[in-house]
Amino acid sequence: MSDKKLIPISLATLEPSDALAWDLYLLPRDSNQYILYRASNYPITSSDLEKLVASGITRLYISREQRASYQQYLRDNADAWLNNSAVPLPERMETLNQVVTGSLSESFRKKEAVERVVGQSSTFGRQTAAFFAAEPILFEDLVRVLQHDYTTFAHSANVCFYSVLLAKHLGFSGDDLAQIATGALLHDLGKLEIDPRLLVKDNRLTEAETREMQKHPTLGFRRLCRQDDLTAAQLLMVYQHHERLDGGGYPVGLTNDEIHPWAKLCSVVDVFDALTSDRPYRTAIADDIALGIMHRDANTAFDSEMLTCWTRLISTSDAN
Amino acid sequence: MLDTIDLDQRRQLIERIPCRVRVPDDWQRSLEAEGCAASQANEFRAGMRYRVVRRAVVQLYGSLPAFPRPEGYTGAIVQDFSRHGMGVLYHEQLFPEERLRVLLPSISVEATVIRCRRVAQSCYQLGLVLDRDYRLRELLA
Repeated sequence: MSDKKLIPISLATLEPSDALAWDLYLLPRDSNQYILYRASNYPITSSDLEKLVASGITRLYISREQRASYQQYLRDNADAWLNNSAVPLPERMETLNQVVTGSLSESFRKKEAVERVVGQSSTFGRQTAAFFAAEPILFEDLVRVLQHDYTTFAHSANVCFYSVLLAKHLGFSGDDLAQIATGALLHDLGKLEIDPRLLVKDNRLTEAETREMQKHPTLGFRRLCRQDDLTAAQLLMVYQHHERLDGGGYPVGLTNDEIHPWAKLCSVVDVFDALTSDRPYRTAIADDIALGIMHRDANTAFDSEMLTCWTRLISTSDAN
Repeated sequence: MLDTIDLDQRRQLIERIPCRVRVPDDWQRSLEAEGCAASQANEFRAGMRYRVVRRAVVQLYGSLPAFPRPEGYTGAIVQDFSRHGMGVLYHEQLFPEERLRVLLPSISVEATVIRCRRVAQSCYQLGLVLDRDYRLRELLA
């Protein structure tokens, strides 16, 4: 099998099973030839998995065409591999990121019904929050596994992870973390209704295009506001994440206390991810420069306590 | 409910219900002008707006699951009309998709919030889309 047709999967994500839906390949040490390890519909036992681990194998390979099926498998078994402490933390985080980003990408591209997107986001929000609450996650570990090419779904996943990390350090409760994660995953949903050419435009937007782009918080809110499984705070993350403390934001132009704290939190990490990711019109900015830019807007755009906490989180990781 | 209120009762209600909108000083003047409103180049409006200031009463009746509203009437200031829309000053923020009834001396209209912009504390400018097209003279009578 050609290596171009295969993609690696983490051994840690596999559960003993009577049958998996895909052929599993192995790349033996000191070899560049993939060999068939286990054909699909053939059982894989815990003893098989233990032997692979004992021989130092951490990855198997599946056909690229079976990626969607593997993604579904990951989603169905997320609680198992996320809580498997035998697997190194960064590896579990990386898999979580792949699952969330892959699923959002699929939902957003297919323009799935809003109920399904919300349901899926709630599941990921709960899993992300539980994972982050249980593990001492460092920013540097997290940032290493995130995708930093700009797409709405990769950005939404990043904002979700960053939001939970910041909320945890600000002292929010476990229930709040799950809700914040879900709200963050949905915060840019309105961009699905924006002309895709604007989202990837590689030079400055015109005034009219900027106004069009600025509709996305309202569009997202309108799409989600009749969902009775979303709270007011989650909806306000969608609607208010571009508001500024000085009233210069959009869509309403609210000031300081009128902006929900979760929206303020979302605003900090949203801008941080936007600055530190590759965008169609510029390359990523280094963390410290991004923070320098954001600190110029402390108390005018951003809540200074939240920005300080975020800065401390990043600086601590950098120092480590 | 409100549709059954006759003209006199509607006028009494508008006089009786206090209006909590605090219009900032620099806006007072713009409320004095009446007539056709010039559109800004960036507004892309479908129809002409007619600027006319009227006291009104608002009843919210289609609140969103996450943002329940108390029942009752509150005072508001209608700022302008078009055949399909209405600009209203209100004392608090309303959200897109919230449904309301605007009671004017001449008529009661049902509408949906499509935008809300903060003007000042206790003064929010609502953009409403009306449930059906109206002739201006119906609204202005």
